[in-house]
Amino acid sequence: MWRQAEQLINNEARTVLLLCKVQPSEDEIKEAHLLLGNPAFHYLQFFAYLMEHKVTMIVYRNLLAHSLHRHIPPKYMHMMDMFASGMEERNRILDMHLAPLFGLIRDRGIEAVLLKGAMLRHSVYPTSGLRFSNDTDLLVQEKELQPIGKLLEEQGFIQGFYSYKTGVEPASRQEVITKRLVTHEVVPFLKEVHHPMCKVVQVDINFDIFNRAKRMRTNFDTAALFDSTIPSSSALSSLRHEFNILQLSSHLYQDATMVQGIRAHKDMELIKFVDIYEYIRKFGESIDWDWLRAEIVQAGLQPVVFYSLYYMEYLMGSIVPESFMNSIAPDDRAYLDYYGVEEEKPIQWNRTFLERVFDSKRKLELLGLDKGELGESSKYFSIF
Amino acid sequence: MNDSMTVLKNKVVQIIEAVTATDQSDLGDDDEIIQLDSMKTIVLIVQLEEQFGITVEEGDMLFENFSSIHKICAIIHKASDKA
Repeated sequence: MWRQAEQLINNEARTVLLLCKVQPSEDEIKEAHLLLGNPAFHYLQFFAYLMEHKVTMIVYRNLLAHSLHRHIPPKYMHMMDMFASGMEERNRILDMHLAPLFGLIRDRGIEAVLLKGAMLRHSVYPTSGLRFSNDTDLLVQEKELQPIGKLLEEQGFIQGFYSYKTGVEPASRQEVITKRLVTHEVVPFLKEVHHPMCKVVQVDINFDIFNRAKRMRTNFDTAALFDSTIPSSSALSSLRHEFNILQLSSHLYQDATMVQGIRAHKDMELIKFVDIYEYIRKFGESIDWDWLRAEIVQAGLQPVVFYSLYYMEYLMGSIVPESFMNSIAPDDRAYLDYYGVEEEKPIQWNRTFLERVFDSKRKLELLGLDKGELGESSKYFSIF
Repeated sequence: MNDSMTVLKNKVVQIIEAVTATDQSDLGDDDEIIQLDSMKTIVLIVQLEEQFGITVEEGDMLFENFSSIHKICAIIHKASDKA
């Protein structure tokens, strides 16, 4: 638990940790009152953490719900209010464009499953505005990549990247091929919709829930994910609960430990830990932990899932059955402090996990490395 | 082997030699092209697409499909038939 090392982080970081869950405890709210009421509280530092970790809307909601906002000067509350309102509007626009698209995918007989934000926004969080979504992730089987790509292009989507200056720029063939071969998703499909809060709708098509980079490939049978999907609030289905835990854990692990994720500032985002915590809080009683354990063990995924659930509980509090955690715990836990897992030799972080979470300069550690130490990931630096 | 197959194979070998910067004249049709790492395979696919005017299908986009002359020629044939 982070409490044991809380001297390593400042009061602003502690306040974020106390308020980044949907239902903080009475003790956590009481402590947040004390921290926020301290005249030395650094509001801008607090806001920087909220933005970095994509938890602004959850914290804003808690500030209002528990009258913590009275500690914060109005001009800062106004900034947060604008941001939260903007996100709510953004998600509304996204849903407006995505609902008919999901219907078309279903009507054409393409089996696509909602992942991550697109799934969490409506099924886990109490209001859709609480979960920031940059993109919309769908999972399909590899045989469906061509049909879904064709459908998206028919609907005006372009496979490429978004430039804030020039809009959607089509990907080169080399970028398309590279992304397809060395990751678990294809180059994003983008469509400009020209709304001030949502300039572009981005659909990410995944064909696996595990990265396919060298040393990241697993024995997991992706086709099995489609055997027992469950309905969602949209026209598309969701993975069964146990597989959503697996997917969210894989996503967190990959971004936290691969060089590509660290370079893109995708590692250590609190929202990824919050997502898993809130998912288990919402669906915990329906999760068959024994079944999940069997799936994990069969595919040798214990290090991936343990990493994510261990650090999720470290930041958010205990929520996973202890017997489950013990049953997947690797004998050697030293790997929890390593990154560059796609490299021949993973590299140990110089600083503790908790320090890294609240230090946006952590990726500077990469600069001290020999190029040879990043032999695998550096091949794709010019592309990703 | 008919003439068109020989022409195709020779052109594929030329592209492999250019991408790997190695002499591949002794390479057998089913021999593994050991100089092709992941990045060079990607460059090879781009070159094959440009020089043969094809688009490799999503379902065929696997490293193992580009590991020998025989497999590469099969992919080119398949993509050409769909073009």
